[in-house]
Amino acid sequence: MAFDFTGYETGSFYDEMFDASGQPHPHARMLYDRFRELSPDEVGRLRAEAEAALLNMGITFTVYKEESGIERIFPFDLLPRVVGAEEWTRLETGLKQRLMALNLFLKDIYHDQRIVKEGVLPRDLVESASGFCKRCSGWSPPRGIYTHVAGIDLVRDGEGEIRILEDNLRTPSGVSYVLENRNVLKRIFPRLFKTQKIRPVDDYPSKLLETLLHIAPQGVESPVVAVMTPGIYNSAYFEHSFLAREMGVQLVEGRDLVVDGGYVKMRTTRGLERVDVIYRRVDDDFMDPKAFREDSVLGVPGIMDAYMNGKVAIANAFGNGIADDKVIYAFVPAMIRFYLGEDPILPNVDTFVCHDPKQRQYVLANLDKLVVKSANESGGYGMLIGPHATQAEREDFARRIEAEPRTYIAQPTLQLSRVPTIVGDHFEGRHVDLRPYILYGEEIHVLPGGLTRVALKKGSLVVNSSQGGGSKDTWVLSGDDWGNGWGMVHAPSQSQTQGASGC
Amino acid sequence: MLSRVAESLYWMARYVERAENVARFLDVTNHLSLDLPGTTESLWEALIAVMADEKPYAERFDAISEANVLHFMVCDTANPNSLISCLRAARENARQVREVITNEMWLQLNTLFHLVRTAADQGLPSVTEALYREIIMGSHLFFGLMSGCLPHNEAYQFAQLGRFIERADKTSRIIDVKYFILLPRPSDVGSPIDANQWRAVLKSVSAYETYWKRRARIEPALVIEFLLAERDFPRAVLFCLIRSRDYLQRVLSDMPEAREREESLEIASRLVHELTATPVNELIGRGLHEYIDQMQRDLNALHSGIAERFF
Repeated sequence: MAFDFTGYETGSFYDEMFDASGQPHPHARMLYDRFRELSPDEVGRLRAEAEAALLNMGITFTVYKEESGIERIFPFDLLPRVVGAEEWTRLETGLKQRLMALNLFLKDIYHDQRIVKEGVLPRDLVESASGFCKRCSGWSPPRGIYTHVAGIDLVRDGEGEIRILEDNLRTPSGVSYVLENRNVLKRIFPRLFKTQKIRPVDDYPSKLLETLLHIAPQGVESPVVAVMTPGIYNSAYFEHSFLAREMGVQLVEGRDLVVDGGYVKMRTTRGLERVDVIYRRVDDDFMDPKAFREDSVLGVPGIMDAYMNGKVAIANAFGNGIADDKVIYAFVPAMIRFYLGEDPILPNVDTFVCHDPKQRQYVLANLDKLVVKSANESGGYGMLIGPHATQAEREDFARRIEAEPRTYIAQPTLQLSRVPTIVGDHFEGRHVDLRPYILYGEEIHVLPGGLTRVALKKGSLVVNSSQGGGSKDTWVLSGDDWGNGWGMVHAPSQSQTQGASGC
Repeated sequence: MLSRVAESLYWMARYVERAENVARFLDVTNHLSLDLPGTTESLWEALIAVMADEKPYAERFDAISEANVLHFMVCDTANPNSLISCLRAARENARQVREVITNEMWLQLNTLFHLVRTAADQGLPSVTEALYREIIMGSHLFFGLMSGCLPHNEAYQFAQLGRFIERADKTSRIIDVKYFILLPRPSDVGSPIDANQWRAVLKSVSAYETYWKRRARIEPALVIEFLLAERDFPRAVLFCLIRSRDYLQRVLSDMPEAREREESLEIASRLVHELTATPVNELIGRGLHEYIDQMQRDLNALHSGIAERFF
């Protein structure tokens, strides 16, 4: 018996691997053929191998319930999701366009606020947003860049249209899984990588370093870069450490840093040393107990002043929370038209803003059909999935919406696309999204790939790792005809062997 | 290098080295108990004494027994010196410095941790000789990857410093225990049991073969001399002290500003000097236990000096 796709049903959903007639999409053909060669035993062995590799690499997140904490690997499915070259080109262009507009929005909102003055965005939505940073008004970050690292979540709806679900412009995580998932799959399916043109993702750390060096304070000859982490108990600590290692820079915690003479310095075995660029994975509120939350032990007192005086560059910029606010999201297509004079390439998911009385009325009348999200929560929390909710849950949300309309948006329940996923000894369709990573340095660079998150529970639409989600590798195929091997290089001479005379 | 990073490297190495030594102690006690007729409680008791863990042990167990001691020293997460605790601590420290050590080092330590964690979860039946061997070999693989693939820079020097201080401490403890605790009656001296125990001590630090190449017979003073002062034997105390001093000197030589007095270096140098300048027979004559006790206090002071200067 082969571990193949016999009996696999695409159902009424768009399937990332098969078309409606049950044939694999052209870009998924090779993968389809390879998997059909595998026996169930082989698949079992490869899965175990992949999981052992992830566990031993320590690519785990910790569930803190017992004193020691239980370590789990982020569940990983062997079958990758494949994106064709043409589709990727469109995505890439659309993502660049969106990020450019979001960056212009941040610049505008902290300076002239033209977008408000010209009536595109209601003023009270801006001022009431929890991510708005009052101190940032009138101030410009180095080279005018706010969103150095972005992760933008995409979903494909029932019609096959790819839509933007969410922008993450503060400290998006997950890119280390993209790189490590790829490493694991390369080990497991070397042949596929030789025969298919899968675009590599492993230059991400060097691109990230370039992005960071681009904003280093002027006149510093060899800038010192550091990744700042909340510490080993943060669920993304693995990633912070991974990125620091891959970039060859220091990984620091708040307690390693001190502001001295206006500059940010780290405590080393040889005394204090200056840091010029910080890629921080600590939220705004926790960065500086003097400027924000006094109780923060993760931050560095006085770092905000050093930042605003240009003594240290920090990525991402402070105040980005206004731009990835779930309510502001609804206005991004309008921003693209406003700042760039272009039509958005990638559409939003239709969104009802409860702040607006008319839209609110519609939402309240249709709670059984809609997904409601709170602007102040993430990770799949604070959400109502109307069609799956009980009457009581819907009533509860109706009360919350009426109490705080500013906080809520609603969207139609999407028929997210599915990808075949290993369940026991066969494949079943599971819903997925896709988070590509985008770097904004001298130019905008989209990593060809991304984190495909998969809702492992049957029928579930929630892909977050905290809610039973897993991940898949994402293969972006290359359209051009580039070779993926090195040219042959002749070694200057053979190695010496014992007893052979060299002359 | 970040002070926090230096400290983590130092402790990472200390804990791996400690796990290895604990595994060695367990391995050899296990062997010894097979050779001894009748009760073996005193052997297991001695093991608790080697680690100076009598008090925490007594708080957790009423009686000395093989099963209790094994549980305490292998699986007990409440005992900071158990194998599982040492490897967990080593790993937590390594996690702090993942970007400084190599990926292979991390992989190896992580694999070793999961191996012991699985055994500890399963309990005593899975605590076997094979497990001890894997830990000993696993520790060497870890340090081998460190020596062979990590630049011999400050990071390496701090790790080596921790490793050799730890090893000096453990070798000195095992001598002390054999000499002071396992030797209750003068009539036992020179008996086959006594010789057996000294052989076991040598084996516990992989010194047995080298010892026989250099000494003609097993005799307490000779074994003690070997384990304390055999200058080129890597687990002898003197060897470890010299290494500790040298790594400390290297770390200090890179410092931008030299201090007039480096207290930690003075302690390390004094320890080396004492052991080089005094014949071992004289140390035994003056009271070996007192000497080793003092050495352990000095090693603690050495650690404090390092912590204060760098961490």
